[in-house]
Amino acid sequence: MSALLRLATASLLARRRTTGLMLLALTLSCALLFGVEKLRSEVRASAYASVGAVDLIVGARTAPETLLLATVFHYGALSTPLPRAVETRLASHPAVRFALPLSLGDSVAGLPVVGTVPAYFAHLGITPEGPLAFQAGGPFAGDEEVVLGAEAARRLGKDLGDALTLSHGLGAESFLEHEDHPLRVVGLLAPTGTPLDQRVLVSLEALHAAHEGAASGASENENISALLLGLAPRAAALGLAAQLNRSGDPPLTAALPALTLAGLLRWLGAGEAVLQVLSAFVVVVALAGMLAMMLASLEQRRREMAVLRALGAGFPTLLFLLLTEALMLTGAAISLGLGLVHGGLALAAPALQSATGLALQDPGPTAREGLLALGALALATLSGLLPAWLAARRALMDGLSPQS
Amino acid sequence: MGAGSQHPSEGPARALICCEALSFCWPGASAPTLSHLSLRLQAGEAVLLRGESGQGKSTLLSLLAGILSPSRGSLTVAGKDFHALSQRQRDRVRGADIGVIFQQFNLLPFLSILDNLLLPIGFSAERRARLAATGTPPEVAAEELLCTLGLSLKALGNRSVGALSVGQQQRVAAARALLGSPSLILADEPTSALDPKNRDAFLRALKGAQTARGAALLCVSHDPALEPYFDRTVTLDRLQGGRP
Repeated sequence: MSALLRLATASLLARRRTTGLMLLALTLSCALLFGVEKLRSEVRASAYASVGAVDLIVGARTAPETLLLATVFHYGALSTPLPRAVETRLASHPAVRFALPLSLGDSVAGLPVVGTVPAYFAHLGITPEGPLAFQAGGPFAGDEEVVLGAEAARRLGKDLGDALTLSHGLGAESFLEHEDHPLRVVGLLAPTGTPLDQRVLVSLEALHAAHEGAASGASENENISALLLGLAPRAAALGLAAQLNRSGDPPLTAALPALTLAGLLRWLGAGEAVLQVLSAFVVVVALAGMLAMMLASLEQRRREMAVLRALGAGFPTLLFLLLTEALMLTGAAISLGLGLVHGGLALAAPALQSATGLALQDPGPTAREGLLALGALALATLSGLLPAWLAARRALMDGLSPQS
Repeated sequence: MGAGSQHPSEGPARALICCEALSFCWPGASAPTLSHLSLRLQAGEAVLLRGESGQGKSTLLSLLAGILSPSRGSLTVAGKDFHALSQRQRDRVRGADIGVIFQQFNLLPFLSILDNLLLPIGFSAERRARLAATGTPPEVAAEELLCTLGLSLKALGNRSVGALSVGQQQRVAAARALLGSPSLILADEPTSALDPKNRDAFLRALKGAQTARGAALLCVSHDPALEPYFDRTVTLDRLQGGRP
């Protein structure tokens, strides 16, 4: 057994040029497979991390998906405002642990401006229940202060103490610039790998002051876009959501973010599946290459097989030997592929984070990657069986003296 | 050292190879390659089997090694009735009791000389056990055999198999065939890749080692110059009674 393993290793090493090329192809294909899987799980982990400790999102009546996309991912807009009175009413509900008002719809250089309250920073940390981490400074206190997400600070080129002016409306260029309301940067958030990194956070009052300058209605301060609720117990979300969704004055929508997100991701799953199937096909192609290499090498290994045969190696031994070679190659490729993806990510993570603000949610191999690796090994066994069987058959036919 | 005589009259108990009325026909072939062949080889005997190429000498070796199975007739090798054994069991008998030397390319080029020498004890537990019973470590036993054949691992150093001359390779192959004391050595044209000087040196060495180890030797060759080194010579024609 161990003698056979040594033999297989020596034989592979003796053909190190073809073996090396094959290993390279297999490794790259495995890295692609694991990379796509990593991307998939990162996207999911990042999406769920974006929801954080929010148990319920409440807005004026709309689709739950719209509410989630607008409040968490800044995709789309909430057209109907929510009266601030709803916040007051819900904050006193016994199951509500925190109620954070959000006012959306403004932007600075294409970055979403979120009006909220200082309590926002205390509740929406990446680790559930924890406060948000700052790289520098702290939460805003007055209506002339602003906190920037890590990516927002980088894109705006702003540091603590710098001045910033707001514009009205989403979009990189807005014709309404409120030069008369400069805000001071008082806090820079640590990168989270979520859409929070792009946010510009100000107090509701600051946002209101900016709008007053643009001669908006005085009542705008009384309206918000949505409410983020944290509940205790969290299981109260389902009942409260049902109750709020029934209420007619004003008509409300309460979305369970995790549930709504799961629905959206299920829909996205089709695209992921295409990527995964493609990367799996690349592995199949690489294994087909290995098969071709093994078949091509059989002719030059006829002598080797005859010698082993003469020494008492039977059909099962030759089968085992060739199968072992296929599995050793694939096993090495899987390890190298995993190492490439995870090692590469670990090495690139700090640079990636400082350059793009993208933080990895979930380092280390996952159970799904293990399953993929097992699948690749099973395929390798199948594709190794053919040359193994052919070689062993021919060694039987050749007898003791192969015609060379 | 006489040539031509048939097997000496000794009891069948001492016969290492005993085949009677053996026939073999390749699948799909119209005429049998071997028919009604009878051959007896005593323990420790060295026999040269001569015949022109294409007559079925290699087929006979494959039958004796248990790689092919006879179509008809009886075949007993090292006390085992090959007819009654499965392919796997015959493979095991070959690994344990038979050493094989090819015309050339006996050695695996990606293994060291020593690893090539030690291959048979990796494949056969019986050979391993027999070697262990002598109390000699495998490396020492391999070196002793090489010395009997006029080579030395020490002198060869770390040379790769490919750096050996064909004559040296054949000696290493002979040493490997003898390691772990198999009772039978089958050699298929072992000298055809050697010039006359190397051929004679190799045969002297092989015969000496075979005699010292007490193994029987059946050597197949077309070359009449080999006859003096063997106890007797047989030809395929004469082994197959009814054949023209």
